[in-house]
Amino acid sequence: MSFSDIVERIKGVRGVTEVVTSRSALFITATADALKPLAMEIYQIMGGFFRTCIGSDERSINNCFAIYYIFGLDDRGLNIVVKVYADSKKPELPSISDIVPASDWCEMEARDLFGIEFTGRASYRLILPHGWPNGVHPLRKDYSYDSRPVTRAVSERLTLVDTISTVPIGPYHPALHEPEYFELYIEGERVIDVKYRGFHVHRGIEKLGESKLTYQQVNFIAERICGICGFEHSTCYAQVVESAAGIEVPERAKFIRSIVLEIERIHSHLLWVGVVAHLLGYDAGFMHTWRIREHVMTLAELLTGSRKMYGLNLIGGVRRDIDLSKKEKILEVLDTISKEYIELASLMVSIPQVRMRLKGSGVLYKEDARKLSVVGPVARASGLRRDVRKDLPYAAYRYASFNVPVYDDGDNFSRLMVRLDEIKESISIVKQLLDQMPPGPIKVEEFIVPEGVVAISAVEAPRGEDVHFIITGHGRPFRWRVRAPTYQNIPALKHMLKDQPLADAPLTIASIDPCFSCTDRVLVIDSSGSKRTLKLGWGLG
Amino acid sequence: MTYGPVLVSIGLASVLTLPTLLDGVERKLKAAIQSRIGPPIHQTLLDLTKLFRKELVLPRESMHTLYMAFTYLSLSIVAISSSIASIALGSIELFTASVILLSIIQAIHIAMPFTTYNPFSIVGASRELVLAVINESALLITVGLAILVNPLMSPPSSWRSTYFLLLLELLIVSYIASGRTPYDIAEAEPEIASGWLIEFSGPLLGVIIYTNLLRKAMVKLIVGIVLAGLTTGYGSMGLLLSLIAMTLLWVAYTVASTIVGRSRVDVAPKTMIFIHTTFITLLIVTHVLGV
Repeated sequence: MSFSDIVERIKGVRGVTEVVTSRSALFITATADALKPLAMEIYQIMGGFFRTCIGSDERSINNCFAIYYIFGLDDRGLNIVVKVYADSKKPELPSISDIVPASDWCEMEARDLFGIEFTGRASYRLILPHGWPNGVHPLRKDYSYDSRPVTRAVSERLTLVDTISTVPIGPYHPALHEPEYFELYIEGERVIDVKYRGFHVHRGIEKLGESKLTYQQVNFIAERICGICGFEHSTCYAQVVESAAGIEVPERAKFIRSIVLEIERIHSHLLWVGVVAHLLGYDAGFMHTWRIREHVMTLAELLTGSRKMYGLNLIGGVRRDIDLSKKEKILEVLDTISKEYIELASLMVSIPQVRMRLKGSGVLYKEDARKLSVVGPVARASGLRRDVRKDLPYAAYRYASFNVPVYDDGDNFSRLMVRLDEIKESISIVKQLLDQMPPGPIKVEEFIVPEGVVAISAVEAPRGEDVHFIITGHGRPFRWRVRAPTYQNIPALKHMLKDQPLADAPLTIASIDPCFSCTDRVLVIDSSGSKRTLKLGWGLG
Repeated sequence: MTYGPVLVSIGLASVLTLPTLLDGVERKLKAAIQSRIGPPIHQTLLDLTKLFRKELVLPRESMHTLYMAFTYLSLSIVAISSSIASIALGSIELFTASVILLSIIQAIHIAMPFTTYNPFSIVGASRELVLAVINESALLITVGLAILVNPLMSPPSSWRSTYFLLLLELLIVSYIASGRTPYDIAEAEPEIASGWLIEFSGPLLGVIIYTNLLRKAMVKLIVGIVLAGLTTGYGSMGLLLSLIAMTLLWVAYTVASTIVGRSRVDVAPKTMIFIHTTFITLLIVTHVLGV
């Protein structure tokens, strides 16, 4: 289907009021009635994936709430954004979760944070704690960032069935490294169902970005969304603002970003491999993987001045250059890592218990993966060739030649193999980019961010695609939404854990490489400053 | 035989103190293989000292745990004394008694977590129960065969295949009974936190950890005793050989457990049944055939 065919088909849906095209995105405004037919057209007929949906309080601009649904036609490198308005007095929209199961969470997030109700589905509280007062929606613009509503402690007992044994995992548990709660219902040693309760940590990052910080400052808080893949978030945020403002980032800065992104991928994957080895009782593998990872951390420090939280990105470029002496050192360290890692990886997959426990466990079938629009290694291990670096190339990835490893079995072993292969690819990408790095400046000094522009950006983080959405405002984002890969992948765990042995549950949970600090990033807060009138228009995202 | 009590005392003192140090050696050795520095060799002693200094906290709604823990400890000391005495004095009856006692200890070891109301303890104990039923049965059968093939605990005139098979099967049984990977599924699987140990803390945990070390020592000592019976015979040499074998096995098991991963609860029993059945069948066949 050609681009013009896509546009025509969308224009043909009754209720579509505006279609704006740009190089890599299609922005659609539609009535509420058109939402389901559009979802059916894009998701089911065109075979698009679902990235996320974003609630927005635009009452100060047009006296409405709005919701933005982002779909992706990966094979065409195209994002499709559907915007629908909801009444300010009684915000209510039809749910598309029956057509797009992957939209379940983001609809409930918009309900919690903006009070937008979704008809035609069961509603539940997802983000806010159960003791949070009803009718208080913290991302609404009339809710001050420093408000503290009176909450009451409510015991949440998830167990519904008393006849089946329940094994609680979390919120604090040795196999979990962040607060999250899984309730496994077991018969004998077999998991027959699972319930998940997340969002235990509310840091108010989005509200802070919309209320207190400037465009450049948000870069640094974006990096703090995650302790492992923070650089992906800061790159994604910088890119979304650059896209909205039409800033041409110097090529050299793009190369530096890509190099650091790949270094982050290598250390993140090595960390994960170590954790999996530990969960499998193969502690020698765990220790040696982390020993090798230490070289990568040294490399990160050499390039950015920090092992983590690099503070490297700015809107318009980067803050540190890579000189020749660093280049030689990087190549030397990469050779060491490459040699040691290949030896360890082949040893690890040859251990009988490692193979036996990973093969055939935690299976996510391709159709379920597609239905839930999972991302990253989880998608690629289930036969979906999804990688933002290839589908929507950003930074300097168009200059590197690399493979996207895809496995079809959908089990824990496939997810291991995807990551092991990706480490090799990342090493190769860094080497290629170092060889081709152009001279020139590393940042744009002056730029203006126009108000009211909508843009989206995606970056392939180690766990999958990060998506940042922005509506530009005065000096800071009017609306900034972050969708971490774990947010997209957790719902798949229900499929992966069901009918599996209890012993494999932590392994399967770990196999999506969950990052709950990324996922629990939202909430509370804003300034009580005066209202400004913005004219919202579609950007070039 | 007048120096028998002296020998027994020396042996007993060794087996009561050595396990804590051998556990330290194990931790140091694992660290070396994993490219770490690791704790000092006397770290286990320091850990135990610290635990015994803490206040006594019992699992909720359970006084039975305390009684069981001390029964566990007392019986373990009796069992290990009995096995030391058996090789020092050449008593096949004492040896048999010690092996039976070991099975009783194993039963207490499994029953203890059931006195708590923690689902992790109960899942861990259930897993241990499955493994123990298979492994303890194999242990009793193998020891029975050992007594059958060498009832006098004295070196045979010539070596037969049966003896090698006997020692091999005993090695496997004792390795599994020592609770190492791939068979450490009762306490080390992450989804059940620390498995059956989760409810224990302070001095109670100290008692259980120390008793577990004694149990680990004893399962290796049994191999040493049978080996001594087949080579040096009982007495001072037999005792010395048993203790050396116990020490060397501790080190060998450490290395083996470091380079493998953990099995799964549904797979481990099947592999154990297969291995034990194969070896015991071969043992019986070679013994009957006299080869």
